[in-house]
Amino acid sequence: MKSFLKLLNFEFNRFFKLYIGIFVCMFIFQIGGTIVSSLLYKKQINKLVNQGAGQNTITEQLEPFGLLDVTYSLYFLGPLFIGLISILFYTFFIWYRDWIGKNTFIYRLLTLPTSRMNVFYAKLATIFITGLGLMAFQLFLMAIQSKVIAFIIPKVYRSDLDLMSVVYHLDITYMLLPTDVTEFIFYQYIGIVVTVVFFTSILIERSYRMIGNVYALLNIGIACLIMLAPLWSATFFGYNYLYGKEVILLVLLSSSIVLILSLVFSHYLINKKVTV
Amino acid sequence: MIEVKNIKKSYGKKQVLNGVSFTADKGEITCLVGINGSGKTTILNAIMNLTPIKSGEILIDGAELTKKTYEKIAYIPDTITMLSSMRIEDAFLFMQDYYTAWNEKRAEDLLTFFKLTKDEKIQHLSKGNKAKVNMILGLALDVDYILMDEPFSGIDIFSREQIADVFTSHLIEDRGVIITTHEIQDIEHLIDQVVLLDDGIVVKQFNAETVREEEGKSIIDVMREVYRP
Amino acid sequence: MSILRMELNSREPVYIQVIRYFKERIASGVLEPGTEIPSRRELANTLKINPNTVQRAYKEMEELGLIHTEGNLPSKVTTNETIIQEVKDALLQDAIISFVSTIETLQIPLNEVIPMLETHYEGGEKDD
Repeated sequence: MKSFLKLLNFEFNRFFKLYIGIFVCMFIFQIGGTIVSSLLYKKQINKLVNQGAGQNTITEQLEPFGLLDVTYSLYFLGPLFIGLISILFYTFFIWYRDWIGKNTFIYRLLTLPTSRMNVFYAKLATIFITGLGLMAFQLFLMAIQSKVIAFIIPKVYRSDLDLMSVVYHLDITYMLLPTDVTEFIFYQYIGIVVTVVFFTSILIERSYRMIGNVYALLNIGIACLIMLAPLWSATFFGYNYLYGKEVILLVLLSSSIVLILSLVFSHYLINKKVTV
Repeated sequence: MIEVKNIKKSYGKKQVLNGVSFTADKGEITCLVGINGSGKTTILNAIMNLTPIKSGEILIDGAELTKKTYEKIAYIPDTITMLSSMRIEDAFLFMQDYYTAWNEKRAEDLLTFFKLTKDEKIQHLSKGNKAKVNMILGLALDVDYILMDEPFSGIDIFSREQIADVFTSHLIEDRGVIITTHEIQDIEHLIDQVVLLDDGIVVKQFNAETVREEEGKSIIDVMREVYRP
Repeated sequence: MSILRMELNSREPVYIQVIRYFKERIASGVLEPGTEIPSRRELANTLKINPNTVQRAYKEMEELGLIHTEGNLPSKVTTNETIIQEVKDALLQDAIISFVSTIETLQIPLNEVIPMLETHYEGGEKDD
C-alpha cells in the first residue's frame, strides 16, 4: 500500500506539467471565449438601444443569453475535448513513456522490490484521478463563466440556469458528470473498466510486440463484446424483455467480469511476459 | 550463487539463447563475453525477470526470483534507469524511497569519488557521467549480486579507468558480479570467471587464473581458440 | 612502501607475478625485513587486479614464510634471514638458469663469457 501511494504520487507528478497545461488552455479559451461572446452580445443590445429600441423590443428580437449558449460553442467544447483527448492519449503514454527514449525507466519500475501490480494500479489511479479532476475543473470553469455572463449582461437579457441544469442539458458533460449519484458511480466504474482493458492491451503489445498488436485489438474487441452483451441480448430476446434497470445491472455484472479477467491477465503479463 | 540453467529464448524465428547454462558465485567477478548480439544483455534481462524465457530455470541462492530478490540483486543496464528530468539528488531520493537496501552514505561517497555534484540534472550530464550515475544507483544498494551490462562501452578513457577502479575497491568486496563485455582488455586482470558465448550457447566457462596457470594462456588466447576455429 | 606500476603478463597467473614482484623486492632489500606491506585491497587497487588474486598471492607468501600476519594487523615482511637468503638464492638460480640456456644456444665457451660478464656487471653498477 505504501509503495502504491508513493508510486501514485510519483506518476501524478510526472503528469503534472502537462495536466496543468491542459487546465491553463481550458481556462484561457473558455473564459476568454465567454468574455468575448458576452461582450458581442452586449454590443448587439447596445446597438438596439442606440436605435431607440425599448427593453421589450430587445427581448423580443434577441434570444436571451446564458451559460447554455456558451456550452454549445466551439471555444467551450473544443478545449474540453482537447482535455479529454489528452487524458485518453496519456492513458497510453503513461506506459509507453517508460519504454521509449534513452532513459529506459521501465527497467527501474519493474525491478522495484514491490509488486509490479502496484505500478499498474498507480498508473490506473493517476488516469482516474486526473480524469475526475478535469471534470471538476470544468465544473468550476462553468461556475466562473456563469459569473462572467452575469457581470457583463444585465439580468433581463439573460437566461439564468443553475449549473446542474446546464450539465444535465449537455450530453458530453452529462455523460461525464451525471447529476444522479448512482449514475455518476456507474459511469466512473465503466470508465475504470475501460481503462483497465486499455492497460491490458498495452501490456499485451509490450509482451508480444508485433503480433501483440493483433492480440491487443482482439482483447479490446472481446472486452466490448462481453461488456455490451446485455445490450445485444435485449435485441436478441426481443424488445422490452429486460427493464432498463436490469440491463444496467447486467452491464455492471458483465463489466465486472471483464474487469476481473483483465486484472488477472494483466497480473500474469506484467509478471511473466512483459519485456523491457 | 546465481545459477542459469539451460535457458532458451527466441525473438520470432531467431533463436537468441539456445540452452545457456553457467553459474556465478558470490565474491567473484564473472564476465560474459561475446560479440554484439550474442545474447549477453538478454541473459541479464532474463536473470532480472525483465524478459520471459521459453524454457530453463534461473535460481538466485537456490530460489526463483520474487519481488524481494530486488533487494538482493542490482542491475546496471547500459542506459541510465532514471528519468532524465531528475537531478542526481532526486534520483537518490527515489532509490531511498523504494529500496531498504539503499545506502545513502555509500551513494554520497561514490558521488565524491566520481567528482559529481548532487544538483546536476541527469539530462545535462555527459555520457561518461551518466554511466557513472547509473553505476552509483546500482552500487549504493547493499545487495549480494550486481549485474552490469557493458559498463565500459562508449565512454571516455578516464571514465573507464574510474569505473575499473570500482572493481578493486571495497564496493565490490564479497559481492557476486556478473559483467558483460565485448572487449576484454580493460578488465582482463580484474575478472575471476569467464563465460564465452557464441550462437546462443556457452562455448566455454573457465577461471582466468587457472587457465593462465595450467595452460599458460591468456583470456584472449582462449577466445582466439574458441572464436576462430 | 611505494609500489610502482607492474607490467602484467596476461599469459602468466597474476598471483605468481605478484609473488615474484615481492620476492624481488625482498631479496634486493627494497622491502626491508619487518616492513608493513599494503592490504590486499590497496594492492589490488594500485595494480588494477582482482582482490581475490592478491588474496591468493598473500596466502601463498604466508605459507612460504615471506610475510606474516598477526591478527588484524597489516602483514609484514619476514625478519627471518634464512628465508630471505633462500629467496635470494632461488632468484639467482632462476636468473642463471635462464642466462645459461640463452648462452648455450650461442655455443660460447664459459671462459669467454666470464670476463664479459664481469665488465657488464661493473658497468651496470656504475649506471645505478
